[in-house]
Formats: sequence, C-alpha cells, structure tokens
Amino acid sequence: MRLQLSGVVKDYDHRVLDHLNIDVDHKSVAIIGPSGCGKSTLLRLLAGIEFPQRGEIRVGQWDITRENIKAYQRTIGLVFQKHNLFPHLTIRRNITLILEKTRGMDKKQAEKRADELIALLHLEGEKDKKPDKVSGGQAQRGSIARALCTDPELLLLDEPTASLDPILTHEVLMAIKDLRALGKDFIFVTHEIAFVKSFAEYVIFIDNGVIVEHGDVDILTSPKTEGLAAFLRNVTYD
Amino acid sequence: MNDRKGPRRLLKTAQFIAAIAVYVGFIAFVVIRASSSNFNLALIFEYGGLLREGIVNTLIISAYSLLFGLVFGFILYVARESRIYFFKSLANIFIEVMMGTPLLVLVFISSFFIGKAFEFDDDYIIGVVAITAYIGPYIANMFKSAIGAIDRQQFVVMDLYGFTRYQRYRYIIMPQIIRLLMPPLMNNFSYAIKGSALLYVTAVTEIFYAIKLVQSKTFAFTEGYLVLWIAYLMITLPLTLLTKLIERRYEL
Repeated sequence: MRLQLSGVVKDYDHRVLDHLNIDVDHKSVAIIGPSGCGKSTLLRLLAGIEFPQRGEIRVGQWDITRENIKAYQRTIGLVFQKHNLFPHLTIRRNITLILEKTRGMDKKQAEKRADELIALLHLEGEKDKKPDKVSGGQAQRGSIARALCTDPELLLLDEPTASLDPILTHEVLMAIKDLRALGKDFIFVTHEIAFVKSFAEYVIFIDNGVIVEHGDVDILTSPKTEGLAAFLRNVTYD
Repeated sequence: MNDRKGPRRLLKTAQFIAAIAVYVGFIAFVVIRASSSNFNLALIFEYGGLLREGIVNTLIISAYSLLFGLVFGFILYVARESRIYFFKSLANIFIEVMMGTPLLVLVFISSFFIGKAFEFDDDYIIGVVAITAYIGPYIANMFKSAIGAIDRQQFVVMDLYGFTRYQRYRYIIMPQIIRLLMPPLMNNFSYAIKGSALLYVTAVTEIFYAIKLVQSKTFAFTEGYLVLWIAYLMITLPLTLLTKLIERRYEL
C-alpha cells in the first residue's frame, strides 16, 4: 500500500507534527519513536479520526479529506492501545453488532463471520465472555478480530500492546504475526523493536514531530542518524 | 466454601432484623408517648372512597410525570449537546431557570397564568406538565453524567464504523448507562411522586388533597398524615425494588 504524506502539519497547543513528507509503498510499515514524538497522532491522522492543519495525506487510492472520510474508514480496521471493545457486549457480540447494524449482514452471516475471526485469533473459549472477564491479551485479540470483521484492506494498529505485560504482549504480537497470511496491509505504531524487525518491511522513525529517518527494516540494525541510534540504545536492553 | 455461606447469610438476616427492630422500637416509643386516647384510624377510613381516588390519581399523575419527565429530560439533554446554538440555548435557559424554581410556584403559575393564557383548564394535565417540566432538567443532568462516564474511545469506534445516532443510543450507550441511571432516576422519581402533593393548590384530588379533605371533616390530623405517609411509601418502595432489579439485570 502506498503511503504519501506531503507537508503534513498537526498542531494542538504546540506543534505535534512538523511538515512530514514521505512516499513509500510497502505491505507493512512500522512507525517508531520515543513517547510523545507524534507517532500516535500520525496514526490518528492516517485513520481519519483527526485531520492535519496543513498538508495532504494519501493512503492507497484515498486522499484523506473530510469529504470522503466515511467511505475511506469503511476500508480500514483500527486497533487501539486499549482494546476498546464495548464492555456490555460479549466478544462475539462486539463483532456481530457491527456487521449487522453497519454492514447490513443478517444474524447468521454475521455470526459465521465472527466465529471465523474468533477461531483465527484463538478465542473460541472466550467468545461469549464480556471484555472485563477475559485477560488483557485476550481482549486485545478480540479487538483485533473486531477490526478485521469488516474485511479491511488496511489495518492500523496504535501501540496495540502498550497496556499489556510482557507475556500478554508476546501473545498478542504472535497473533498479529499470524495475520500476515491474510494478505492485508499494516501500518502500526509500537515500541516493540524486536517485533518491528520480524514483521515490518519498512520503518519510519519520528522524533519531536519530524521524520528523522526512514528506510527498510535494516535501518534498525544499522541506523544512519544519531537520533535513531540513540533511540534504539534506549529501548533495547540486549 | 459452600457450608460457610449458610451461617453468613443467617448472620446477615439477623442483622437486617435487628435494623428493623431499631425502627419498630422507635415507632413504638413515639406512639406510646405521643398518642392520645382519641387516636382513631377508623375515622380516616370512613372516607375510603375519597382516599382510593386520591391514591389512584397520585399514581396516575406520578406515572405520567415520570414517563414524560424521562422523555423530556432526554430531549433536554440532546438539545443541550446539540451543535445548533439555538437549541443549546433553549435547553440551557430552561434548565437554569427551572433549577431555581420551586415546584409550588411552578404548579401555581402553570395553572393560573400559562393555562389561562392557552385557555386550558384541566388541572390534572397541567399538573403532569408542571412536574414533567420540573424534573426534566434533573433527568437531563443525570443523562449527561451517565453518558459522560462512557470512555471517549468508544465514540471513536462508533464513528469509525458509522453507527447512526439511533444505533449509538439503542445498542451502545443506553445498555451501558441503564445501570448508572437507576440510583439518580429513583431519586427523581421520588421527588416527582412526593412533589405531586403540591397539586393540591389547584384542587387536584391526589392523595394529599384527599387527606386534607378528610382531615377537615374528621379533625383526625395525626391519623391523616400517618395514612398519607404510608400511601407514599406504598408507591416508592416498590419502585425502589424495581430500580434495584433493573440495576442488577444490567450489571456488567
């Protein structure tokens, strides 16, 4: 999937993203950088949850504008830091509700689709439980199943393991790896450098709202900028 | 584990009975010390027909006021959250004014001024409208705080999948807030029920007015107020139970 940013600026009360420019075409792109660098903001812009003050964003064939945002959002799936499943519904119902109410499926079709995804993410034993009755990792896998239910072309993941302990992190990352077989495109924000190395094709390193370095995943083993090198020293312990 | 549950439940029951005993003791003390020889409940019940009419009317007025108050409060909430400043202002002004309005004044003005202006003189309906208008703002606030308790991210998810406004409320918001709404709703309900007593100023034959009538005929004031008290309890206690049941039903 081609990802094009030109002159993207995002301000809150201060500048968060400062004239981002990039044009890449890869199936799996990782956005990394220190906390507060603007990487989650960039992902929200890519999901069309927020819009930049200036600049243009193009994802695949879509120019992301307020006018076509609804149509664009129907083609993506989004996974958040926290699972964000609806807490009053079972994992299965979280999926079928969306399919029935917003995609016009009948109950049977929706349940069949939900059960396929539940099997894909190994949640058969948990599907009839509500999110707070399962582990954090299971809930996050449930939210990945939900993000996949509309059969999106692109899956955006915003630090999907940020709220999980190392064991659950591993469990969720393994589940995401298995999704490669689905042939979808991925853009994800994460701190898990080992995961980026094994899953991403392309890496964008952001610091202080600017793209400091980007390139094939090899830049993680041989960074060209001091910024990325310093970041990698800070996040890897081995 | 199981065999420990029995004694614990027994202990709980015993404590409940002890709590009841405290109140019964208090009532017995008051009754013995304060009741005079001419205390006679039978006097009141000679006017059974009037009392029944009063209770039925109080029930009907309360039920309609609660129902309409719930709907009206929700409309106020939606209007206040509206992006159209006109609706927002309409709701805000209404809420601010109503919050500082005594129900007694509202009932009086509704009947003698507003009702008169519209040439409408059914004081039962005016009473229901007045109570509805009175509890609406409180119910609007109740919706605001309950819906405010829902994680913002859930709204992002709803946006992302394109849920319609109706679908949001019907499938996602309402089922989550029903449990949270029950305690404040019960508060508002009991205000409305007890507030309906103020309709006596427009001579609506609800239970308070009925009791006043009976008292003026029998001079049995103490007895009258006791019966009134019990009549209100007979309405509010089952409602409390009902809201508790609903609360439990919607537990997460």
